[in-house]
Amino acid sequence: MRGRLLAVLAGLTTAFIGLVGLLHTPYGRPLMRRIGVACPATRVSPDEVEAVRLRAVAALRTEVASPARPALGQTLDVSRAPEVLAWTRARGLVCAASVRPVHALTCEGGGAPGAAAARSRPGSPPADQVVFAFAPDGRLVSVDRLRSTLTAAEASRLFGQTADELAAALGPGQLVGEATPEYLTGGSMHAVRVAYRFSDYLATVAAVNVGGRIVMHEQYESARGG
Amino acid sequence: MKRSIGTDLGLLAGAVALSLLGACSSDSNASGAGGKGGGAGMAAAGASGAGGAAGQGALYVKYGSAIPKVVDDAVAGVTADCELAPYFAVVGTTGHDSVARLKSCLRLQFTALFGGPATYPGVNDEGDTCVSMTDIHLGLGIPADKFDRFVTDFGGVLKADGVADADIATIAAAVMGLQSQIVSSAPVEKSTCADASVGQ
Repeated sequence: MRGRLLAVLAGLTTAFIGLVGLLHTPYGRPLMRRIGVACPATRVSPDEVEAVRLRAVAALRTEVASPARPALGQTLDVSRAPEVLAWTRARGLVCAASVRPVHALTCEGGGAPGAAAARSRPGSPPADQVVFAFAPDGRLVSVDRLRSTLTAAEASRLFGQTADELAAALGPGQLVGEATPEYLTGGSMHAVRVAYRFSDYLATVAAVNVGGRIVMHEQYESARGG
Repeated sequence: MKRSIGTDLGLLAGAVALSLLGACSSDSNASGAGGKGGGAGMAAAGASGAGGAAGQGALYVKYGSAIPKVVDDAVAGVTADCELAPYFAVVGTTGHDSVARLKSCLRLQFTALFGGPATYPGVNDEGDTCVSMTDIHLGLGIPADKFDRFVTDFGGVLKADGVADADIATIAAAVMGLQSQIVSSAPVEKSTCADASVGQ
């Protein structure tokens, strides 16, 4: 009797483990969402995400220290959430704070912060989204801005301004593509990108034709640690 | 030795469950944040098989030897992005895919995408099965802004690695064609886990 009970328990336990496994397959995930379990990407810890980021940063950085570390007016590795939040409030941005998968402030709307400093330019299209990400210890480690609905002319002008400001602060970067409206509208995934790689700082600004829309993506991040 | 129906059902359930778990293991090789393909599955989102479009064989001739570098650069660029990194967070952790296996699947995808001697989904150069793009992203709830970030990161990498615009256009057609399958109409936003709403 006891043996039978144990066998049944063993079978049921194994079935439960199998069910959990099934729920983690591509076929099981929609079911998990229906029962209220969020995407795994939202359930990983900030430490895990930072480890992934640092691995990538280690592969991208160089041996040369950056002469400056522009990040939309923020100070990487120094600024913390309360200061950044005050900064965004002063500019009318509406932000949501998250703790998973990363400590971040995700801001939309309002006056777009300028690329080089805490100012907005007349006529500048609104930033669709600005994300300030913090390391688990609270340091600001990444500022990311995404504009998803630019015209080619707007993207050309904004990319040019941003690239000029970065060049003034950092010197010439690794530039590929052309920042002209004609080039950007010339084909899907036509891209212009300028990248800077230092031992303590990475910056990448790209404008890409995404199915007819011009998407501009700016990333400024700390390369320290890891 | 006699066994009751209850015992048999229990063992049967266990056997079925083990087979499902086994399926999970191979599927998870390429499944979202939980497996091999991870978010980086998007990195070759259009790879559906060799010769899928005119000129792709020529792409392989031109860029085949550069595929490992493109994959390395794409993975580094995408995972350095704080907004995309969470989709890769479990890669390399116990019970999940390794970075090496992730890249192996991506090399397979790129080889297929460029018209080389591979089909995708298929078996990668480590003997593991990589699942389809649709299956990889199913249920991940990837929001549109993540797709935009990925495309700008990826487009920049292709450009920086010397892929010609005409060739990028060929790749782009495949990538953009899968946007509707990758981007969720009911995205799981980080706000799911948000602890506060501020700024208003």
